[in-house]
Amino acid sequence: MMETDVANRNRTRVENTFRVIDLMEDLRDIWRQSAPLQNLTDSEKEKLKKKLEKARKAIEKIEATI
Amino acid sequence: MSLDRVIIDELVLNLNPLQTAGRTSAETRKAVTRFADGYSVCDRCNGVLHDIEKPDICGFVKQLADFLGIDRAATTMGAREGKFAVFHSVAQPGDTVVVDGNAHYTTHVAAQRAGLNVIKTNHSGYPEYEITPESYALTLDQCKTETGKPAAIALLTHVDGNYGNLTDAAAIAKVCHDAGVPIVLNTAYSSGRMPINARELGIDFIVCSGHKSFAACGPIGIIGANGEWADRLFRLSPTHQNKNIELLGCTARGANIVSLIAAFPEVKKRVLRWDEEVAKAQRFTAAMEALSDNPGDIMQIGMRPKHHDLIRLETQLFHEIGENHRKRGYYLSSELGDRGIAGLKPGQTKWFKISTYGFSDTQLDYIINAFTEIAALRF
Repeated sequence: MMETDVANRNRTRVENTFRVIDLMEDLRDIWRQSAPLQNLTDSEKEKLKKKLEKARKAIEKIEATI
Repeated sequence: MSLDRVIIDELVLNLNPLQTAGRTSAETRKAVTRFADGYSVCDRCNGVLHDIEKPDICGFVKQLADFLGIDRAATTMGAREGKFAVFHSVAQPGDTVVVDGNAHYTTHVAAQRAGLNVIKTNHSGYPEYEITPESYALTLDQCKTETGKPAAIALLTHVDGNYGNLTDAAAIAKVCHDAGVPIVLNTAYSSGRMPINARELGIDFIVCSGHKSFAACGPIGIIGANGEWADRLFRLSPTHQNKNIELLGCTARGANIVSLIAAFPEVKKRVLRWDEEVAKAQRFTAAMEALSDNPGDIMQIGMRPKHHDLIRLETQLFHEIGENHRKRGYYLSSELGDRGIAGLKPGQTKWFKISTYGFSDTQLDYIINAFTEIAALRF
């Protein structure tokens, strides 16, 4: 029987792993939609920064479980 | 072994007609990540792929049938597999299939695999290569005269991959039915890009390509049938309960079908914007032909005006530049590459095919400007 703490820890790790992957896929769409010059508008830059920040937080949550 | 792609769509504008409408969205790639493992859609399977409810493949194929105006649909591994399944279910070895003169090689190979003889219709020849209802009437007559019986089935390539010609499927279906011949419509280059209703077109069978025109990673296609043909196409094994013979039981059973499901909501929306895609194709074609005052320098091949994003151009202008360029014919793909544009075959300058599908107006302007700059090398 797996302890609840272990199960929760593992779920946090995996959920945040997928979170980072998903956010990186969103970034790929930003690059694709602005290709080939990738001259981003202010709103695109803001969107990009928010996604990077969310990814950073997800990575921190993974790190916290190590 | 490196598995990096040659063309990276995040860095370049890829004009390859084979690939433009198969580009995946972030939502699709996220779903694919979750189903990359083999047989990953089979967690809750009771033996039939198209009956799986989690993920909801069962509901999805019903949505596909509605979307295509077909009584029953199923997924395949691609359009070519769909064509074979249709030929194999309708015809006997030694029978004849009538296909359009612009049919893809996979149509011929699928017929050969099913043991069928193929008779091609004529097209109108250079430069439009149009397929007409009259050509089907003549060829169906020819088949009956030469073989003593009607063709077992006819196939029409809705939009061909060489010229991007959109055919009159409804009129050709009527000609086939008047001759007592069922018709399969190959929509590899049309369904998923433009609205299609097989029932309204009078089509008996439809085949589609998920990786070519439904923004799916694939390999995946769709087959469908109307009326009594559906029972024949989707007949079951007499020995293995619920196992479909033409589908060999189950077809796409992993990331490929999930990618099609994930892409579908946006595909339903984008077909409604087809007029915008046609307008872009026409704008691009006009801009390319305007690169020279001499009409022979750049000329669109295929039916005019364009009604599809696949554009074939004869490009004598670019060929002449290559004759005096140190990179010879490779200069064109090189010059485009320097501008972040890919998808033309290296070395090809006399003619090429490109697709404008899915590019924004800004990106299309950028592509036109790039060709304009390269055309200036002539002077």
